[in-house]
Amino acid sequence: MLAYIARRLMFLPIILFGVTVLLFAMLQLLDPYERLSLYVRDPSQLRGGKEQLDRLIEKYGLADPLYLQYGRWVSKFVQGDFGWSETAKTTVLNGFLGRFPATVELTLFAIGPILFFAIWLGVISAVHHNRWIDQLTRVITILGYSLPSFVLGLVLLMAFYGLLSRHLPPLFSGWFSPGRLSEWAQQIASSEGFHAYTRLVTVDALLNGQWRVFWDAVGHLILPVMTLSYVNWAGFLRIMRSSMLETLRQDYVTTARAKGVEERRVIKKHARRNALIPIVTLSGFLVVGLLSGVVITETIFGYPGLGQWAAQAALQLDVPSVLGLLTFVTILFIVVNLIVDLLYAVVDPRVRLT
Amino acid sequence: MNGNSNILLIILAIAAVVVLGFLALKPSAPPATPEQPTPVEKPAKPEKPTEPQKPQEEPPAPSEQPTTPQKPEQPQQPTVQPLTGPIKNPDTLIVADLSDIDTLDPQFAYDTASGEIIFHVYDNLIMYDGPSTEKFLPMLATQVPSLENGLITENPDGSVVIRFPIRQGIKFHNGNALTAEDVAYSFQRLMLMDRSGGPSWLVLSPLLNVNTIADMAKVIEAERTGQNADEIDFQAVSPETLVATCERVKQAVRVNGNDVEFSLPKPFPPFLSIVAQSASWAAIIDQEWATEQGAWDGSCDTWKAHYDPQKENDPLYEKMNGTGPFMLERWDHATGDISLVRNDNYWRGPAKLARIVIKKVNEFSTRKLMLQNGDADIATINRKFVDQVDGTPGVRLIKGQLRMTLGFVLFNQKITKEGNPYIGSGQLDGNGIPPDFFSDIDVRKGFNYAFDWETFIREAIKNEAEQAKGPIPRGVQFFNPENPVYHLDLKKAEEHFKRAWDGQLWQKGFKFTAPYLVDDQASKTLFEILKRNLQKLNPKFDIETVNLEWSALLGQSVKGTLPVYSAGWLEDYHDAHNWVFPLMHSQGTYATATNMGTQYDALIDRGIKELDPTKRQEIYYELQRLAYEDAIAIFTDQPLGRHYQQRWVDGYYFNPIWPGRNFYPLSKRLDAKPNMEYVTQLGLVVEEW
Amino acid sequence: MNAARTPAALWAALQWTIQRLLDAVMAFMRALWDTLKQLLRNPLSTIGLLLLVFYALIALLAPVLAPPERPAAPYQIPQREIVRPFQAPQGKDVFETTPTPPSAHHVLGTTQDHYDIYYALIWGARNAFKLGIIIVLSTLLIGIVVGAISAYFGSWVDEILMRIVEIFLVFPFLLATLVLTTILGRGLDKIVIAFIVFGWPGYARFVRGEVLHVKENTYVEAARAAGAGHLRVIFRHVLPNAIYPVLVLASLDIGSIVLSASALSFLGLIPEGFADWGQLIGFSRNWILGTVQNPLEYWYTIVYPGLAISLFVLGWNLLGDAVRDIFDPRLRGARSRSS
Repeated sequence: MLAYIARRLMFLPIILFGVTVLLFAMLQLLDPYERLSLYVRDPSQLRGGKEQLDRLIEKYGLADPLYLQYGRWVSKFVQGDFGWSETAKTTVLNGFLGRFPATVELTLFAIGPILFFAIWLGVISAVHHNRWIDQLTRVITILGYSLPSFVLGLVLLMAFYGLLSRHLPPLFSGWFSPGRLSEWAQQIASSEGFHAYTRLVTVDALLNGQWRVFWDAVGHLILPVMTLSYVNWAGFLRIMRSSMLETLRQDYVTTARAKGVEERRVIKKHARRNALIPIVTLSGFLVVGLLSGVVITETIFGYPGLGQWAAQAALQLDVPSVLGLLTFVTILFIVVNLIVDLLYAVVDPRVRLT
Repeated sequence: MNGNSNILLIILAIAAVVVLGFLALKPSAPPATPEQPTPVEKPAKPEKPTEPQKPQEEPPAPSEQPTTPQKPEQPQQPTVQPLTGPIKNPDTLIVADLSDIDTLDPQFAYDTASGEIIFHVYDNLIMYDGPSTEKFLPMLATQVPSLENGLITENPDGSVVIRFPIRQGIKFHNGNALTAEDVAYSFQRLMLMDRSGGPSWLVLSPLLNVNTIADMAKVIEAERTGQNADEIDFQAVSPETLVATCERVKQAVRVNGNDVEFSLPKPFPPFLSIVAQSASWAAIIDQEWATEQGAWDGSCDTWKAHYDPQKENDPLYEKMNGTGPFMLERWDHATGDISLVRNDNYWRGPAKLARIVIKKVNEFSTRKLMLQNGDADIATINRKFVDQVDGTPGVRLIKGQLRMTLGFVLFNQKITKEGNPYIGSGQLDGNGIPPDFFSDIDVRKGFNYAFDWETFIREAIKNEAEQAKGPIPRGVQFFNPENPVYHLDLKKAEEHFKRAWDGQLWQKGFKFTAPYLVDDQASKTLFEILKRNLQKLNPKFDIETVNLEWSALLGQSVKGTLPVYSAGWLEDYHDAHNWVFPLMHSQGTYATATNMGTQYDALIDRGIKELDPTKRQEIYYELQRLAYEDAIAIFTDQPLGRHYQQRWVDGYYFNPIWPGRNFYPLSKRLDAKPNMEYVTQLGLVVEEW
Repeated sequence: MNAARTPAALWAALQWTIQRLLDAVMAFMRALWDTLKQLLRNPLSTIGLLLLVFYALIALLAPVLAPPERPAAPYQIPQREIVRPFQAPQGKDVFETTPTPPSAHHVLGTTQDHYDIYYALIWGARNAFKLGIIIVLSTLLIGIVVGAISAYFGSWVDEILMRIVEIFLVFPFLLATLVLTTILGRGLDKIVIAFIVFGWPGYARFVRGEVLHVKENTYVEAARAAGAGHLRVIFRHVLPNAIYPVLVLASLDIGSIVLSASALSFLGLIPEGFADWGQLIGFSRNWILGTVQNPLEYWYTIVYPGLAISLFVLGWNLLGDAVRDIFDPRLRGARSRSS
């Protein structure tokens, strides 16, 4: 078991190396002046002519060969220095720490509905296999699967923020608006009396007894969570349904039924529990997938999380930020993989880790 | 069956979703009669915005008319509801903006977004008088130096000394007293830090006659060792040279009692505008505090360690301690928001607002809604989307504000041929252009006569610009309002094109690609208009447009492959020199890129050494005339800006030289009125709803 | 040897070859037909098929439905005064930034900067098919080659190739394509390249699995025992048997590929004015809140493009859902989306 974990973790540096080298290699497609665009952000900053540009290239070592630039990054990385993010206007680490809680919060809120609907509807449609309820569920989920998140997100914004919010009582002011908190709530949340225990605004607001802040944060989360979960639950529902169908055909279910166990009990106690195994596996990947998949949703809703940052950094070719994010995603990917494997071994005794 | 209840639930849920969906979308079906942006109410005051304003400096610009074409048709209805109801966040001003603040270190900053913050937290030696672009008032200095009051003295050898007596009794935010040493330290730090791509050259060149401090060190090292200055590696110069370099810097900015003296080796007329408020690099910081934070301590032995820092090593990157009306409260790197709080001990009297929050809101829709709901007091609205905002109840718009920027299309007179995808065959054969295509003056004149300013300004800029009259914009001293300009004249264009390249051009035609920056719709429209007119002239003339990522555009412009540049210039300091130099001097940013040659250099150099305004005027008028005669560029437009705010914001006015808005005079009150004195004086238009 | 040169023998050889080829094609068509028959039995997949046929017709007939302004650059959306169905754009160029509602001149209205929505949707359909097919075919080709080699040779070849595949798969797809497209400079061809570069590993892994499965079969063993070469075994025996499920699966990915690609163009990685649905939705972003008087003033800028792309993807997914049921359980969850 320990040996297995160790071996899996051994891959981490190799994959990390591969991923980062790949990125550096892609950047070599640009010449130093093009790579300079990160530091000279728009034409109005193009001052002092070529002389100043050359100074900047020298300062950031942009004309150095690939291996030198990469070596510099690695040697800093080993010392725990992830570099400077021009898009976050702070160190990559600080930029990450500032945004990570927001994304975690969004993800946590989204996972609930995804799993709930997937399991609930999945079981129902398996039990009523090929009946109209099954078909209906499929239509709804396929619709969700087909709606691009940028269409759904914008339509929701139009309906809730543009239209509905102007007819709402003042109690809901600020609900559905983009961002993470309203200005007044932000003022409270950043004041000194407000202790940031977890940096998840909803939890912190509760712990500080600030109900208004809590509701404001929830109001801001509704639309992104709706978008994220609706476009994501389809895959889970599919798997839940097939897995449920499979278990319902198993001998022990038939036996249970034959023994006269009540159908509701058969489904709840016997079939559903076993059908959940693949869902456990996949929810691990869901965390990874959501974290890297919130790019569009966060961009649309102006939500200050990792996804929005990632899009910005990629579009502006902010290499240190993209590298930092990649490192994080890689580590997360491998660790989650590992945990899922271990969980599998716990849930399913037939699986042996060697 | 257990499912029954569940099924019911599902059906209910689906029905609810469908009904909700329909409800949400229902009103969308009928608007076959889309209500055009409903009649916009008239300005509250029946002032005459475009009537011949009585400007002290300039006669009315004839091309200003287009700013108010839609006015006369609408019925005059000065019935704007008086403001009622509570003011949101009465003590706090919230600005919904979209620009990135680069740094808070005054001597590092070189962009307007950072400049706006520094403007409010730090003070300069002198400042502009309200909206005036010419008159200075003392600020941290007690007097504005001039030849008359003896604070500017010319020495027989041609060098100049400018003396600023420093105001006493002023305290920094942390309680330290402002001294003359702090002032000198601020300027010395600026020159010695000299971050690459930064503002230091602005002070280095008039004071030390070099563009970088490294050049200075190299010259000194060369004097000491006899080497050739060009071959010296700055990183390897001896410690003695470093000390000597620093000594020279300290010689240039000296403390003399309560005064600070700047020694200029030769006259430099715009020096005052280089140090005046709005020049963030010339803001005054506290030496003691800066040293505590880990910045340069003022010693000549240590400055090299603080030379050209990376942002992460700049101790003042996100800390501020000035003498200004506001103090830094927080700069949130996750959202990009920044907040300032009032400095109650401000020496000019505390500001009326207790807090300023500048929120970074990338999405236009959000900024719009914040303005609509009163969540933002001031919002940046892209010109493209103004239709969506005009008519918002409770909002006041002030438009027609002159901006100190110019747009132009430059012709590259010696295009790099190698690996150039934009000039087709690279020959005059109808499938491309030769690299020196634009060196023919008839080509340049032909292009100028083929451009349609009226259409461009109407369609691309919604009439909120004036035709530029040359390399110097209106509002800058020595701007010649009578300078001749080109106008659309296809006959003349044909004449010139027929004469160009010995008549070959007309027969063979040309084709090239005009790259423009992505999302720069105005430039695209510009090239399309040009192309349309050129094709009317001769079907063999063709321009293609291609949009380039900023990285690619930057790379290509350095390589010199762009045949034409659609660009703009934003002044560093307020003087005609800062306009003719980049555009016409062989070492200026744009003139270098377009290989314009050295024919104007002597005249430009003469202009900057001249102290007598009448002689300067002659020189700059001549340069403006030459720019027209030689058709060095298509000078397209000088934009007129808009300012959107809540009606409850009081005391607003604007000076185009400032890096941004000025929050110091603002307050929020129900009986707020537009500042009519300012509005009429500058011929602006106020609308409110 | 000599005998083979006679016309009769040549004829026989040719006949034999043609027969083989026909057999292969027929087998494939039969398999396809069987699948199709199964699909038509299900109302949902029938709807999906109909939707796709509809889109395919639009794509094929695009030059008739919306004749381009310049045939050389048909994907450039016209910004003319009049753009009607079945007619070439007329009138002068308009540089109006505000969208205009549907009218006789613009049946579906115009979006930001006076781009005609109808034209953009029609050519957007063609663009979507083109994009999807090119990407699927290229990634599939690379995936098949790599996957087959990896599975067939096993041992260290497999190990190295699969490590590389893993590195590519760890890269978050959207971020990776975003970075690569930005580096290459915006453009449809650049998006295609980025999708191919980061799209093949998924297929490689899947093909590898399929090949491993087929490799166990006795006829492969037999062919190898008979002395057939590596390439011959791979291409004659292994791949043809592994390929059908792969092909079907891959073609169903067109929907999700178009979706991901339009996410990139939504973020602005495509030249302005290029007929792409994602870009239209990107344009609508600034107009969804309408004017003060009518919050739904510009509804048409989002509703039409949103419907177009959603129905297109829906068609593929309805079909895909049914096909995956037929092929279940082997095809389960082979690919997941990333936006």
